[in-house]
Amino acid sequence: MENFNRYHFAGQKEGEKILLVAHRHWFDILTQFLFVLVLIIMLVGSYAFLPVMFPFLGEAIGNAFFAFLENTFLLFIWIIFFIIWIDYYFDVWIITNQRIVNISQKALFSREVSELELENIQDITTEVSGILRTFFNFGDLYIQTASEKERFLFNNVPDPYKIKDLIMNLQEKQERTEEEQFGKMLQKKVHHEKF
Amino acid sequence: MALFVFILYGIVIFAYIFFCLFITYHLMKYSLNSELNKIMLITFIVVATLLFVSNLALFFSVDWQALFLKISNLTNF
Repeated sequence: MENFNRYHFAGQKEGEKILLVAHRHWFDILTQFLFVLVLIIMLVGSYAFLPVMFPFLGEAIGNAFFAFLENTFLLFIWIIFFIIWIDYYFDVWIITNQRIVNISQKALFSREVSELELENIQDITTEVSGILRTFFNFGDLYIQTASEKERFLFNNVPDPYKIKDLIMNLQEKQERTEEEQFGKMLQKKVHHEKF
Repeated sequence: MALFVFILYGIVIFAYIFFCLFITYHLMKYSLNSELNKIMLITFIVVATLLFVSNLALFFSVDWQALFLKISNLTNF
């Protein structure tokens, strides 16, 4: 299992251990990066075509102007690239030994953090539908909860079955711990009443 | 006309700086992995600064008056 010792998130409790950090599948960002790729092709293409269409761009005055335009275009490609990256990289699901945290970067200035305690999980469903999703093994994972937010969604995550197993194991472990604690408490009480 | 270009360029550069600050803030504040965070932050700041400085240099290297004169001459024909 991957080591997440170097990871830390805002609001992480003391003794809380990160077990999994899931981002959307790389295929999801690839489709967004296609837009950046188109812009780069346009940039490279303009080097060849614009001076032919506008011959004055080859002259001394036009040359400086052309270089400035290309540079400005590159400036914005760089910004768009990072905005897409931020939207992808900061949209994250964190599974710890105590809870599940979903940090969602909804838009440039909209960020939502929601969390779900393991004990509130009622049911987990995974959905991998479509050729690409099946081939690349990514899909959605829904968690039915007993809390206010009824459904917790992992959107386009890689290997949702593995995530489902991890959550179910954690839940079982926690249930066992609770049962043990309850048993110990009962034993203590019975022992106390006997003597 | 040159004044219009300067105002327009001012707006573009303001937007660029604004987005750069937004990205830097997010990378600094919300990153989960400190090592990857450093790499991303350094890469972004270095490239963004180089592009910004070169853009400023290129903008001021253009003779806007002469350029507009040239364009208006071309459109007249």
